[in-house]
Amino acid sequence: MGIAYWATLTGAETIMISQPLTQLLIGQQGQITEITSKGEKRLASLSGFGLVPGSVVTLLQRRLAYLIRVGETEIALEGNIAAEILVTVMEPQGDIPV
Amino acid sequence: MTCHISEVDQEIPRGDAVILVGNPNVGKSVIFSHLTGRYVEVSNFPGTTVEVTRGRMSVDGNTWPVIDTPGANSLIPRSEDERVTRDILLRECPRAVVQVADAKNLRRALLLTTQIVEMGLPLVLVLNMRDEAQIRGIAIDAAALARRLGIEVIQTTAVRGEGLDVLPEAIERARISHWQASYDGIIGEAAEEIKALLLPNVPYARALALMTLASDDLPPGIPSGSEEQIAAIRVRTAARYSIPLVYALNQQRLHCADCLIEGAVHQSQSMGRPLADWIGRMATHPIWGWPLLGIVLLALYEFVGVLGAGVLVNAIESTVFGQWINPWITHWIDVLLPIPLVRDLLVGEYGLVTMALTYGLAIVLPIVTTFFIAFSLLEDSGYLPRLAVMVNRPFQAMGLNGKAVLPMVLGLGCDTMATMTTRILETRKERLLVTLLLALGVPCSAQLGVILGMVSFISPTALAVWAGLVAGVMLAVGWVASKILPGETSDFIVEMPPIRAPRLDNIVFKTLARLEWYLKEVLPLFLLGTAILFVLDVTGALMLIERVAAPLIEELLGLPREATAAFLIGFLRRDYGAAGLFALARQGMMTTTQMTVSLVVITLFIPCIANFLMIVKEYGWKTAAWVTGFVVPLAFGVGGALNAAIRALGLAF
Ligand SMILES: Nc1nc2c(ncn2[C@@H]2O[C@H](COP(=O)(O)OP(=O)(O)OP(=O)(O)O)[C@@H](O)[C@H]2O)c(=O)[nH]1
Ligand SMILES: [Mg+2]
Repeated sequence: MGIAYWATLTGAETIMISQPLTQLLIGQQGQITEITSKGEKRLASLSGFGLVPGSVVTLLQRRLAYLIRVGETEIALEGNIAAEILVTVMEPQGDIPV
Repeated sequence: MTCHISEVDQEIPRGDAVILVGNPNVGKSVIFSHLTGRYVEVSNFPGTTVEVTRGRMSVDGNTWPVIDTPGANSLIPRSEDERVTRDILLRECPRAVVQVADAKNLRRALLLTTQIVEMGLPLVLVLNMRDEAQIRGIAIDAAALARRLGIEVIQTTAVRGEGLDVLPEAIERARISHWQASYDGIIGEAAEEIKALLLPNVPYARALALMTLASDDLPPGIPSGSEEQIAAIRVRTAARYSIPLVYALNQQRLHCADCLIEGAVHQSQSMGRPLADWIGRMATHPIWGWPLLGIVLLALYEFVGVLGAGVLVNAIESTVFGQWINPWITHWIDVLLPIPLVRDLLVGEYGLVTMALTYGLAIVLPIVTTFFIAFSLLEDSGYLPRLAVMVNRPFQAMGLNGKAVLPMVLGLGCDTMATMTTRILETRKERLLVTLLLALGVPCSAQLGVILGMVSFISPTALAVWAGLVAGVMLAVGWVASKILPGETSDFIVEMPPIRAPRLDNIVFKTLARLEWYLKEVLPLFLLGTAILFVLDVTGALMLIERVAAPLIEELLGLPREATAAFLIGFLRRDYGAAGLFALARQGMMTTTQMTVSLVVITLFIPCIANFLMIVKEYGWKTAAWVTGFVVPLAFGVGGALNAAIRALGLAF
């Protein structure tokens, strides 16, 4: 995968570390650093929705399926796909508890 | 109308057509209706339109054809409906393209804009859903965008008709954008190389070059002979990247889009939509999603089963037909045409009035009307695609994923239309599986309504047996078929549209459009079916058939002999067969056990003729014959097994 990642959910250093989207807290935002999928179709679908490195996503739900928001688009995806999307946690905005 | 290319791409002689394109669910069809005055289906989920629709608009005394297309996130198609859109763009030489964008998702829209601009087509950009963008605090400087793109940019709220008045003139003045996405050296060079191969006589050379780089699914218009060279360039270029080319292309396009938007989109505090967002959360909630689904189904039952199939059918059948129309017509026929044969044809046991029109107008019409209203409300609310999340797991057992829930649920409206909606699925295996399951076990509106109506005669246990058995058979067949059919399942990546309050005008138009369809297409079949029954009856063939079918109907299924006629007309349409059973049940000619068995059989019964023809159209005769040949014996087999089980166990409902 090339990037070492783990979930450290507090502290300033998290901002620099990429972790899978699945590790975000509900309501937390992350900026995509890399999508590690290999499949051409999968990457075409994801990028077609605007999911590319640099995009900011919010995690909305994780059970049954991962539900994320990018821009004003909500997308449901399977856990194994969500795990291939690596993000850095963005500074919590306002009152979202970390 | 043929496209000729001179030295420059830009000088393609234009046809007349105006093509509407855009991401899914952004309001293309609303705008199409507005331009042409022709109603087309509008619903709140991606994939409402799955084939091109044509209409006409007039501007300043000219009339131009207008084409509505299925939504597409990209012109590199991943599903059949996106392919339809790409192909129509490449085949027509439109006078103008109108790209409809969702103003609150401008970035995604521009990904498509880059590809339309690469084709060198005159373009108007419509930023629709302005109301929703405003609520979310998004303001777009359309003038700045227009300047940067070099084309007209219009802001609209299509459902309220706001901003659309200037669209026709803008279409008349449509220009080619001077904005081009720029690519890195590797892609740029490869594109130029392919373009050089195509150029002397192929239109859209640059766009085609980029499409062929992005996917090995070659678009139409590539001259035969050059495929191999193109493939070689593609392979060579791909080898220079660590990521697939299509992904690299989209990244670079989105980057250009970000630069274009820079400073032209202003985000302020969102006013929020607490209720809609809350409903959306609940609809996919791992716990609360289920009770919510229960409430939706209960409401559907109350509205369609109790109100439609109960109250309204009683009023119309017993009163309007039973007391007024049928006696009145019988009376006048006796007076005017006292010929027994004519009398029987019109008002006999298999009479066109007493059977076809009574079933069609008194039983099925009230049921489908209530169903269409309820279903339109569901479609427009944005609830249906959320079911994809709830059922993803069980669908995976059938070699599908949650995305397939949409065509399956639409099958409850009409299996024929739903068969066409399988185009939104990405692999042929998934499309075939859903087509089979639709033909096998998804009852269409009229049939479902009749079934809901019959439920009031039988117990909840019987309903549970019926639902469990049909669902179980579908799961089992899906599971087995997914093991047999070659191919793969696509990724589960589905867009959830926003929850919206359904609009009364759309509910009314959509319901009326569907009722018109019902009256035009279905009623004639009811008349035909009845006429056939009548002929069989007077010639004595019906008795023969009943006797021949006796082992099947009476012994295997344990049903009364009269049910044979219901199954016979069921070959024409399942719902007509169901209506026949409903009539028998209302006359007290079936026990609850018999009703349950007959319901299971008619639900799993053969797809209607229209559905059969749609399968032929989408997949060919062989597939259609396979599906039918499989479904009919299975329906009787399951019904027979149920009958035997009930008897052996001494159950009663
Ligand atoms: N609030 C709001 N809703 C809109 C507007 N325009 C369209 N809609 C709604 O958006 C939904 C989709 O509209 P359609 O016209 O079916 O969209 P489409 O682009 O044809 O969709 P597909 O055929 O699925 O690609 C419907 O529920 C419309 O009522 C708008 O300006 N404002
Ligand atoms: Mg549409």
